[in-house]
Amino acid sequence: MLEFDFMRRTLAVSLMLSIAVPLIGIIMVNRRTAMVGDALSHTSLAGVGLGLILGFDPILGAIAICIVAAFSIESIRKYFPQFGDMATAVTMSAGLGFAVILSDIAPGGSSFETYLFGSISSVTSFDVISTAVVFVLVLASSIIFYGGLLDIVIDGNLARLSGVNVKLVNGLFTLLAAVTIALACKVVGALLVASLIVLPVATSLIVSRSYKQAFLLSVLLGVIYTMLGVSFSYYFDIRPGGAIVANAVIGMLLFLLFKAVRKKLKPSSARQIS
Amino acid sequence: MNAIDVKDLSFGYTAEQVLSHIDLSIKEGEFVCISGGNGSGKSTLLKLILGELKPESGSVEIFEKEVSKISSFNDLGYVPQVNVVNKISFPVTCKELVSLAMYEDFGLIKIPKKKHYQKAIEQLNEMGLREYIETPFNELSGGLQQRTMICRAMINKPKILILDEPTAGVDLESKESLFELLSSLNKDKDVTIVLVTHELEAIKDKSLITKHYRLEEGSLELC
Repeated sequence: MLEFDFMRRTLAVSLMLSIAVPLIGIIMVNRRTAMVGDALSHTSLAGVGLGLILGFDPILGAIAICIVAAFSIESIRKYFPQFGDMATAVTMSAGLGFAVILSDIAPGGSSFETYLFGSISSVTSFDVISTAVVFVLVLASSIIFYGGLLDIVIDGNLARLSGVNVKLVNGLFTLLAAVTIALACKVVGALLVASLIVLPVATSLIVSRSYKQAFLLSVLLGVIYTMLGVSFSYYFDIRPGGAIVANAVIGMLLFLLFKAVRKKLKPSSARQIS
Repeated sequence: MNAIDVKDLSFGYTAEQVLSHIDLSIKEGEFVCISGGNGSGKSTLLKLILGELKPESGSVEIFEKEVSKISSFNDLGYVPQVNVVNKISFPVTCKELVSLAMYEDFGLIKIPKKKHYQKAIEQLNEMGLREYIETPFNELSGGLQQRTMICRAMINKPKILILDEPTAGVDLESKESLFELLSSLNKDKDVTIVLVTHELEAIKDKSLITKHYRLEEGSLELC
């Protein structure tokens, strides 16, 4: 499959996203805001619709709308903390509502569908460059702010007292999460990006005994699920998003089986220590 | 010098005031208890002392410095309420958790280094948590979790330790061991302790308390 230009582009973008998305996911899942990822990916479709109608790259529209949606969720959550995930639901409903209207107006129904379920044949050179830029930023931020992000996940106030610039780290994370999710919509599909955010992390949490382990294993699993998924998509002519998610679900079941067997052999491994 | 100085402090989340004209002076080395029923404003007072909330009027000073102007809180250790601790449901080891409190010392790349882990291990050993160094925090009992959080709060050798309801959901034996630890930190290491609790009866040796305040309907009374 490497003899084709489009596959080389797709594999390059997939590899970068398979590392960047779990890096975003491990923060979102442990902060219990994984559904924000789902809301952003669905909302990005409104940007895709705008791009198709107004004649600019739909991915740029998806990025812009995702950034606005991500900061809207953060703001609504800040001002109405008592309403839990209401901010996520409101933003997702608004985004999806607009996306549905725009999809009726947008020319070329198949283009819109590409962003819904993902595609391996539509990745452009511009996508490779923009993904590379975002990948470097996500990787660098995840390493530079490793301790700060983990401490914010534990508790924002404790993090502030430890010296973490919570506003800066949160703001940067929100921005990069929005852009990464928007970019992932093209290969993975808007409907399935949340799976790539959640499943590698959820699988790693089943067996990990430290945050460092969970962090590294999430990335490794993200790469395995995604690269296998894209390859299956090429060889069996199926949608890449679906193939990636199927791999991730099978992987998670295998890890659960492994844990159950280990627990049976070593019953003391899952006790609460007092 | 006063460790904490609260002067004429008032605060309300809505038009109704939760705290009204509070004055509180805590000297270095004191062991102060603040008690009060649910919704009396204990946690709000702590949030104001820690700079998490901004006062409507009045001021909070820590070692004679306005709390909003403090850039480093290394002189202050904080142990949050059990509901914060319970949120940690993912695997983070005690060593990782404790080392994070040394964030300011991490350098440009904010990852704990070998020396930070080493210091965390030493502190965990000192607090009797040797066998739980590599244990995921969420697998520990309530008592051990609180002990680990105290260990984290003490890693930078702060002069003040503030604890918000540390005994909630903790068994009797762990409560006693917790107060023994606080007593030793106060007496042997001269750490100023500010304990917010509604379980004052859990403290067997009342002689270790220097001052006891009661917060009721937004006013603070010295008992």
